[in-house]
This record gives sequence, C-alpha cells and structure tokens, in this order.
Amino acid sequence: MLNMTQLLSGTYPMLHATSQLDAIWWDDPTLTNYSQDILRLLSQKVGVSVIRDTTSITLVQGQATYNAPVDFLDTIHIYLNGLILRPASTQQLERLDPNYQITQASSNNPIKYWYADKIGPNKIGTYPVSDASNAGFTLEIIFHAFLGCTLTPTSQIVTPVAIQDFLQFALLGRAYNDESDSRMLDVSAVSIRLANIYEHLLDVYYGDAQ
Amino acid sequence: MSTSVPWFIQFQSPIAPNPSVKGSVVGGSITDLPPVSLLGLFTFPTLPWLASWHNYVTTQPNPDVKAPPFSFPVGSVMPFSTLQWLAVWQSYVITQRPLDIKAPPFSTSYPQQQPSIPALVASGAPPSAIALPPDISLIANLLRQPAIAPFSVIPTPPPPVTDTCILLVGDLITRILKRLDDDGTYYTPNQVLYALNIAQRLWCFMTLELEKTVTFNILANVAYYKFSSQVSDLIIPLKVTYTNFTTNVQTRLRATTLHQLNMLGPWSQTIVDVNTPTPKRYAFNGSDLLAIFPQVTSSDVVQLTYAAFPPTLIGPGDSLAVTDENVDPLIDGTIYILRLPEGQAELAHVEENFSRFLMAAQKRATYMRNKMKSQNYDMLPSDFDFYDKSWSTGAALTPVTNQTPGQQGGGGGGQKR
Repeated sequence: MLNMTQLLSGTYPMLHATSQLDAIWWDDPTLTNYSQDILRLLSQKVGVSVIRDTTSITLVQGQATYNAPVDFLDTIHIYLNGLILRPASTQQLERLDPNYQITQASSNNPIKYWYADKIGPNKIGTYPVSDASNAGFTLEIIFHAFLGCTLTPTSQIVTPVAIQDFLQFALLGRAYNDESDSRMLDVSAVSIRLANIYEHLLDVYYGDAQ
Repeated sequence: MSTSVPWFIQFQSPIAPNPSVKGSVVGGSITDLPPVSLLGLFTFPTLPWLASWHNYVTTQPNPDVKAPPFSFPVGSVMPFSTLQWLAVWQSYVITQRPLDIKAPPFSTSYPQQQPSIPALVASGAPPSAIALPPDISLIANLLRQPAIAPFSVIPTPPPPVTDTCILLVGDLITRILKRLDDDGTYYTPNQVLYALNIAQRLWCFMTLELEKTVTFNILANVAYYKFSSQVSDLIIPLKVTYTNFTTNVQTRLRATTLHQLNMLGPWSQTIVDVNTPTPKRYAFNGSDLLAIFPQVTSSDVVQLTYAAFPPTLIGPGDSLAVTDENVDPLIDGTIYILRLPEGQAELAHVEENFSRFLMAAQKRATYMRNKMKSQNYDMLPSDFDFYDKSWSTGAALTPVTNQTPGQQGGGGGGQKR
C-alpha cells in the first residue's frame, strides 16, 4: 500500500523539517506533484500496474474507435467474448480492406483485430467494426496503467509497499536537486541511486507482463 | 507389568541443538506377547529435518511383516490414521526393532545418520536405558508413565526453544542511536523506527527471505483475481498448488503467461471438466493480477506460497522478521538511511555501512536463490552479482547535475524461471 500521508510524514524529517510548516522550500502540494511525476515515469519504465478492464469499452454498431480506459498507458491484450483479438496497424488494415473503418463484422468476418495507431492518443479501434450482433458486448482489455495520476497528499494506492520506499528515495533525490539554498547534490545523487535499486527490482519482479 | 501401564520412549540427538524426541507408547500389554495393540505418538521439536520411522514387525505364526515406512514433518504429531494402523497389529512383538532416524539429503546441518538401535526387549522388568551405537548415541529411556488411554490424549509437545539472540525493536533503536552518538534528540526513536522499517523491507525485497504459505480463495467461473484482495504483503508468488480433497491429491499449478494461455483459445471462459477437476496453470501480471486456468465450478482454495514483505515494526516490543544473523546488516542499512540527508562527510563516513548491507543482502539472496532452485519455485531473487554497485562508494563526493529517477543505474540480471 502506498500511503502518501505516511510517506510525507517520513520525508520531512529527511528534509530537515518536522512538517510542511517549517519546511521552507517544500510543502505537501510540491512533494505530491513530484511524486506524481516520479510514479508516471516509473509506470512507463517498469509497467508495475497491470489492470484488467471489462466495462470501459462497449461496442456500438458502426463505431470504429473507442476511448481507452482511464489511466491507460499501453495495451497488453484485448479480448472479445473470451477470444483474443490480434494487434494490427492501420497500414496492415488498409491493405486488407481499404474501408476498414466502415466495414462491419458479419458471421463470416467476425471482429478479429484491434489497432491504436494514427487515431489519436488513448484510442482503440477494432476491425471489422461492430455490427448489430456485437453491439452491447464489452471489450476485455488488459493494459499497463499509470500509477498515481490523481495523487493527493492523503492518497492511498493499492500497490506493493516497495513502491512507497522507492518513492521515498526518488522524492529525496528530486527535492534535494531543486534550485534553492537547500540544494545538496550529493544527497540527491545517492538518493536517486538508492531509488534505482528499487526500480531494478520492480522491473525484475513485475516488468515481464505478457 | 500390568496392561494399564504404558511406556514412554525418549530419544535425544547428540547433534546441536540436541533435540529430543519423545513419545508415549501405549500398549495393551508389553509383557504379554504378542500385545493386542500398540500406539506410538511422537512429537518432534522444530528442526529442519525429516524423520522416517521404519518399523519391522514380527508376527506369529506369520512371517515377518515389514511395516511401510512413513514420515511426518517437523513439529507434527503422528497422524491418527497411522496410529490406527499400528493398533491393528495383532501380534506385535517388541523385539528386533531397528529404528532408523534419517536426515533428508538437503539438510546440510544434520547429515545422514542411520543407526541401528538394538531391540527393545520387553521382559519382566523394563530396562532403564539401552546402550546405543556411538555413531548416533540416541538414548532411549523406557519410563513408566500413568496410563494414557489410546487415541484420547495427545502428549504435550515440548516447550518452544527460547531464542536468546533475538533483539527487539527497542534494543535495536538503542543500539542504533548509540552508534550514531545520539541520545534520541537529533534522531528521534520514530525516525529510527521509520528507517529500520525501510531497511527491513529493502532487505526482504532484495533477498525474498520471508516466505509465507496461505490459502487463496478461488471462485466459481472466475478466471482473474487480484492478490491484494486477499494478501496484503505479497512481493511475488513462488508456488501455487491445488489440493483436491476428494481424491486427496495435491497438484502444482504451472506458471505461465497470458500469451501462452491465449493459445488455448477462450481460456478465460473455460471451466474445469469432471475428468480433470483441477486448475492447472496460473499467470502473474504486474504486481497484482492473477489468472487461473481453468476456472473451478464451485468455490475452492489454492495454496499460495509467496515472498512477503515484513510486517511494519510499530513498538519497542516488536521483533524483526529476518533471521538473527542478518540483524547487523539491517542496523548498517538503517544508519545509512538516517545519515543520508546529512550529505558530504557524514554521508561519506557511512558508505561502508551500506556496502556491508548490500554485500550481506547479496549473500543472502544467493542462498535464497539456491534454496528456491532446489524447491523449483517459479521466481528467484535478483542476482546482484551483475548489478553495478560502483556508485555505492565515493558517490557522496561526486558532484552531479540535474537528474531524474530512472535515468541512471547499472544493468543487472533478475531471474525468472
């Protein structure tokens, strides 16, 4: 569990303060913003958060593309009625069917592919497009998600506690690197390198999602 | 001897920590040959060894009947099913009973030993002691005890061994503050406790030293689960097994990936069929997502063995979750974390502490890796032999420019089976 209250209360003494009241250069919103940035970067590098979503995308007849789920980073697998859809590119689909964004599915041509390129960020498309028989079904998506996009100073996120410890050191590394009279580059460097140990382990244990 | 007086057998090993094995032997009759029934009840103190008792029975007028060997894990009481089996021997003669106590091959602390204990001869007067071969020096004492009814009373297990090396959190904080030359003013006990928790968690994260086995509930027609819904301290799963209580067969679920499961077709909608009523595979994705194939048709459980984070230390009476020999590296790690914000010379002075912590963690991880390989676990601790640790010394004196977490660090191989 990542507990921001606990994290911040443990961070201020390491910033030579007792709380944000006497931490001249930092406060809760600043450290929380730093934490958001760090966690977003971690999510992209390690892929620690893998989520299965079965409610965000409901097929609509004739609709080619859909919005990806909240905090979507990248897709691992997409299923329709338990069957996996194959990833494809728009270039492949254009060669397969010039009207790939219009052609509706049929019994002879069921929905088989998904694509995400050239349709904007956080969008997922299917080929063929849903017909009436598929309308109403939801896509099952397993995807990498961002961590901590809506982090607040009191957030609690269900995640291994090692991420809180990683965040502790990465936060120190970021805070002591601020352009200010409190800048301590040696502490920042060592803190970041401690955080790298956690990042390495997080990658080893959680980074191989397939 | 009257039939109401049972015998008490005690065995003591000469090998430290000199465990004793004792059991109450209740016999319908010892001197009346053959006795009607004989029960053996053994409790073993907690030790890393497995004992197997080979019992040879001579029945009359039938030829020798060799009892099948059975074994019981450490700390357990011989199951009643075995006792019942023993009880049906109609012609049990306590003669020529070699008892073999063998340590398992993987127990390096307790090498193989195969004594041949001379016969426990039941005669008119029970012997007070039996001479044993010097190689094992097990001492069997036949003592009279008050009558114990068969199957009704389980002897009290021996008291647990007191760990005199254990250091409680209060002791650790005192020692750490002493090493920091502080009386709790600059580094408050709460700060020390906070750093100690981080150090212990990092230790367990690097070494995967703390293992737990719990039951994990699986539901009918459900393929995906979140570990966090039932287990709050999971690092990684090491082994998942399923026990079919109908057939009393335990099977191991094979670790796989979602990609491999996809090749089986609509696997997430496949349920267990009556011919093969067990889940067979599991996939672990990210830090929380678990998939089990195939689904079960009614709620059931699997046994999950996993590497765990240690419980958070809260008060001075708490104790560490790591083994005693790893307390000193933890103290070193805690001191390093506490001194980290000081920078410059004070940080440079404790670089050696963190080097010791890393080296000890590396050594422990190597031990755990070998142990887990022998147990064929699905995941192993990362191998820090290949991790660039050159930064851990002298880094405090190296000026750096703006850096972002994750944009540095050496390579290093983790291992996934």
